Amino acid sequence: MGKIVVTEFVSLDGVFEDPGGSENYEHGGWSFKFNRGDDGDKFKLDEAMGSDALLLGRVTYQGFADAWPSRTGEFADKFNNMPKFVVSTTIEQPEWSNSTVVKGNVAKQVAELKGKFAGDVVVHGSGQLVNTLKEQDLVDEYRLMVFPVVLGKGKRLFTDGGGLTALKLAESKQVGPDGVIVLRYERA
Amino acid sequence: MRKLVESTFVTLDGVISDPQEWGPLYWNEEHASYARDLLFSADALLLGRETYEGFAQAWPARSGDEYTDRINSMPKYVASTTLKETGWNATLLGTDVPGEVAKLKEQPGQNILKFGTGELDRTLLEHGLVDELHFWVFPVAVGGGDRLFDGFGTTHLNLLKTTTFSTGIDVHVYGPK
Repeated sequence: MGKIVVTEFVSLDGVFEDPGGSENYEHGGWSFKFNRGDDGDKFKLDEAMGSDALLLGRVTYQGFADAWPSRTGEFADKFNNMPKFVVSTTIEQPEWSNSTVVKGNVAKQVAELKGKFAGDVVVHGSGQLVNTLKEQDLVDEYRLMVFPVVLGKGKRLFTDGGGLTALKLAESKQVGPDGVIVLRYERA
Repeated sequence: MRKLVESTFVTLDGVISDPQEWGPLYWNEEHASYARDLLFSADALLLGRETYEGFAQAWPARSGDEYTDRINSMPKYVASTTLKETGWNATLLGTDVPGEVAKLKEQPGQNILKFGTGELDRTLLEHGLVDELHFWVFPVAVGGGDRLFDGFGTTHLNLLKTTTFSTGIDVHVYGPK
């Protein structure tokens, strides 16, 4: 049985929008202004190498599909080669290699993905999808990399709705010299 | 100089309102001990209007432990443009809140403790008056409410330390950048 893992870069005000700078957001690329150190890099590399598949919303998928295919290296090769599932009502022909469009009953199909993979099915960004998964109680783990900045504008990861979700703190550690914190939460 | 130290409960989805509804499940001796250290290293409270009104309703009716007795007896300073009078050993600050807070910080004494982070903190942070922000991150998402840092502009902070409780509360302490 696989796990749905949601992994996010968030600001102190909970903004997760465009940390990588591909979506024309005013503060796009904000996460790169901090040094997350070797520990932070290792955390993201281990996460990528430990992923069986990616599950993405349309906006994040398109940003990734524009950026990753032209890159190489251990991290990029893994991203480019592993199976990807994009939740979208508008994408017909996904262009990034090894991609499948998820349409219709998202909750049911995500639940099926958990049966299909033994390891982590990892969600990056994808705010709308994350809120759907949270409301449907399909998230097994959250990994939040918290940056020491209030952005003041931009989309917040968690929107209203879904009621109360209690979690268990599995790990908290500081990475790098710039005050970045990694928090890992599992099902309570 | 006295430090201005803030202590705020926040959920994983950034909600700071109604902590009495989602917080108590996680309170234990570690929590109490950290809260006691914050309170006993201060000898005055600074409160925004909303927090003041909530506290002034709840605390005076309680007594009998050192935390409660201290919070009830210590002087409070309240920033409000609408309140006309205060009880609970509280004094209203004048309209120049940053100036008055700066003066309070220059007086001799222990820290000034502020519960809650809200609109007032935009001003206080802009004026470089906040020394430490203790955010108690509770391992729960509540699905809505008032959000931390709502209405703030871009603000960089400096992580000073983190403390993890066995209940899963993680306290993140930030200072000004």
